Amino acid sequence: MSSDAEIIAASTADSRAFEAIFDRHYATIYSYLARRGGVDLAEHLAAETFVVAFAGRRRYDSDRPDARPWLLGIATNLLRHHRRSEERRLRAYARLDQTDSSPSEADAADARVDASRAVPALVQGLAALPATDRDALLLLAWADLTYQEIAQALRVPIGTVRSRLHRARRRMRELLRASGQYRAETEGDRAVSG
Amino acid sequence: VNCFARAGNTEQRRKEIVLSVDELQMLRAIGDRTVPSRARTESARGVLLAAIAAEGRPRRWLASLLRLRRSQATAFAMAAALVVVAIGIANLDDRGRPPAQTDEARRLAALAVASLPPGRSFPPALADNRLTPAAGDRAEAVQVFAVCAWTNEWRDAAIVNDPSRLSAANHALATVRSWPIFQESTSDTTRRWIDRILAATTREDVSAVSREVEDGCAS
Repeated sequence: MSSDAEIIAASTADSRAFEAIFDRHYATIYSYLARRGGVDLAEHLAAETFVVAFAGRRRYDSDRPDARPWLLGIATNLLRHHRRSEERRLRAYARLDQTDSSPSEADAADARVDASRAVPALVQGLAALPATDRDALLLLAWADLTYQEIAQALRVPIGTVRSRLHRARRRMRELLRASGQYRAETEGDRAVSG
Repeated sequence: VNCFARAGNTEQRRKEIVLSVDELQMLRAIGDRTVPSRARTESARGVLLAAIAAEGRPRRWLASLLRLRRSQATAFAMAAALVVVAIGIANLDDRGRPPAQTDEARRLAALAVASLPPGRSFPPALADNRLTPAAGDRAEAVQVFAVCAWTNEWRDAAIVNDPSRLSAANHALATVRSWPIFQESTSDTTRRWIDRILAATTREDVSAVSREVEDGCAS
């Protein structure tokens, strides 16, 4: 199977080839945008992400076989101009019915239960983060990018990504602790709800 | 956790990382992974396919402007070209400088003041005709091409978050209204289009800028 870089290179001669990039990554981009800005904004921006990517495909770095960081970077930049939508989305998360999650849910349930109780603190923390730190944190948490991929997506050195994530995660922990949702005791101690 | 133990981190570091992992897990538990519906996917695909289909195709009013030039009678164009060449040759000075221009051509050439972003150049079809006596529409086309180039530059710079490129594009676009050609000959349609571009860049609305580029610029 061709890599994304090969498909993008081919699309400079045959523009229709770019549709394969859409087929591979649309759901990922849409999901990330929907989580950050809601489904209506995601529908609009996900389509725009691919149009922008198509227009800029000749500048794509062919040394990067996976186009996902590139596309998520474009999506993140487009999202920057819709901060209000993201803030509304965060507020909606904060209003989530905390009884939705139950201990009987499988596996991710522990984190989900903790998160549901900690949502207001998490949302407060996210909203208070500088945009650049929040972008890095959510590319890690919601798009599952590696540090290196985040650096590619945001077009910054990996050291900058490390410092942004360090700062963001420290800030989140501080807020969680202050809200009583987070308790550090001994080795192996895990986050517990307050 | 075990991998960190193997890596020989301190207890404090281990505790910190355990906390970090849990904090990330909690973040990941917020919101669901939304799968796009088939309808949304096909709608987005349609937008992309439209962009693909439009690539390389002259667009709308700029295209019609250029088509208008092409639609002039071939004989007339050839005759005009011959006249221009003849006049030019007749007026070459002893230093071999370009043909002298008519007053109207010089006036139009003076109006055609348009810079482009680094790395961009005018297409030969525009550049070559910019200084000819029949340069009226061409001069406007040159200016519009420059507006499109700077608007594209602004959009690209905004998307990649490049402050220096953004600053240069903002500066260039800020001068558009004062370009002499727009003072003199730009149509109301073009003026409104430029106003919309400037409004969109002022409020940093990339989506709106993209739409205006799609509407008004050849690729």
